[in-house]
Amino acid sequence: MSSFFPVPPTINIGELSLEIYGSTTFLNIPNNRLKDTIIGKSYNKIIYLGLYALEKCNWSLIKIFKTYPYEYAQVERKDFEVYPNQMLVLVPQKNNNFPKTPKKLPKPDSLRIDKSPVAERCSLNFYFKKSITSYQGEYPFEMASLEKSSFLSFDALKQTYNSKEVVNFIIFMNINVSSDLQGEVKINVFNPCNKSLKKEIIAKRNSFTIHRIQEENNREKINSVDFYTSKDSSFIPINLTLNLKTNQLSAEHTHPPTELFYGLNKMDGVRLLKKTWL
Amino acid sequence: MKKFLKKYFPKKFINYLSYLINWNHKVYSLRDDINFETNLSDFFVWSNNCYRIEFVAENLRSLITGKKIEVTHNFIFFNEEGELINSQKYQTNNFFEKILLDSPHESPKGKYFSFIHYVDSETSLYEIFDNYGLKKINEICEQNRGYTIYYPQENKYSGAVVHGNFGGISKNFLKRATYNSRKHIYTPIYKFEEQENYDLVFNNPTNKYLIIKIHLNESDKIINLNIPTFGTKFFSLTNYTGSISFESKLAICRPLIFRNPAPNCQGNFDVFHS
Repeated sequence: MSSFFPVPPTINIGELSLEIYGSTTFLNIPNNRLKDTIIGKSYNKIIYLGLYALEKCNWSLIKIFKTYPYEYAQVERKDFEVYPNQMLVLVPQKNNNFPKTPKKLPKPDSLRIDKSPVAERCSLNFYFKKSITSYQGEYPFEMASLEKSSFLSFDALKQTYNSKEVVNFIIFMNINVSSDLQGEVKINVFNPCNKSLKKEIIAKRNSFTIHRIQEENNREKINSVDFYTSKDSSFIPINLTLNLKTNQLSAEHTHPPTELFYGLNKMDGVRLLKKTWL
Repeated sequence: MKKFLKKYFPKKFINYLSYLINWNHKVYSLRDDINFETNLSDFFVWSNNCYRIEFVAENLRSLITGKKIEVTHNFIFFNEEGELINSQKYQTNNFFEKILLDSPHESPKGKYFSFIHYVDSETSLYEIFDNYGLKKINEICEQNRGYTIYYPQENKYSGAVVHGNFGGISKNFLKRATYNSRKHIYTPIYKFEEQENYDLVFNNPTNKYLIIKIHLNESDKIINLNIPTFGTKFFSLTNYTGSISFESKLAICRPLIFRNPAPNCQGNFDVFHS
């Protein structure tokens, strides 16, 4: 399964007039492979990365990176004139023939050279002053090709409530190959105990939607977990925490419902779980 | 082809076929049946130098039903050599629970070791599925995932969050993770920087000794780690820039990476999965 590599958004910390900014690190190597043997394959591919930004009616190619085996490409959002939450995405390909203003993102090539498991990834990084947090992430091509899908997630990773010291965000990341899909999508936020709707977040397709959790929960104890659902679109949720006193950052994604079951019939469990909340 | 197979052959046959086709890349063994009584835990890392460690646990029974169901979250700790050292229990009916874990050692030994997490409840998954009219379904079990939050210093309100390492370990210590005849090389897409310090922490969820070769790709240096079953070993990396690869007979060999490990009050602590 091939993947797009998004460049994380810039996040404004209102009270400080400071920003957390995103970058993506790519390394030209299949991240999992069989060891070279007489019958094994060695790796010697040049990979091109097309950096696309979503414009009003199309994707726009803004830079091409050429990488040799074991060579890095570091893409910093602040180096480009784009909006803080504008979708900025790297498309890996073996040939340098990227269309300049396509309506649909070109299909990413796979870096795999055998059937070794694990998704193709890059390092998604967030910086604040001298602190960095990273996680190995990607946006699967198959997920970016869905016109309609659903979403269920939780904010269980938010950290101790102390508004003067800690701020928590969920970044809802959505990519669709089609530049026409830029509409707004409602994400319902509700209390799972009584299923009462607390808030509706207006998220955008093909964008990063940044939700600051602290603003929603200032009257509740932090352990009350909110649920987030959408019947119209899927997202990859990234939970980001910043300690304003020490500048420490932490980013992690939450497991999708499919990761809570194992076995041939795991989708029966997922369907049951989604039916309860969606 | 996939659609054709799915239409005309049972899932079990397709699964077996896929297992044979991918015989060089097995993650789990096929030898044991999966049912509602089975559970699979990730393999989590304990860091003795952290000021405190919390665990974010999911209550799958409540998530399926939408109702609060009492469960017990169990944690079992193994020392560096993989010997059982301690267990802890925590009862709750919340959908998610943030649990402060006690240090498993009275007198700390070793910097890192590992633990599993599994859930017990009087309400079985079978009972829940049965209530929804899905009693004929089998070949499904719960995966006990969860997240660990590492606090690198005293008096801090936030830590670094990370999900568990690849495990596949059941509550009766059955290990589904398996070896392959050929070695794999896993390379995290991450640039290690010489001004930072890192601990690369590996644990062994299989039933054999795990041998890992750590390749520092920019220096041709190779480090060997031998890890007993359920054991944990780490490699401290300093003064190095570039990529690192891990060679082993596991289909996926991914350490947990502690960047500028605890104790750390500089604000540059991070923990992430490679």
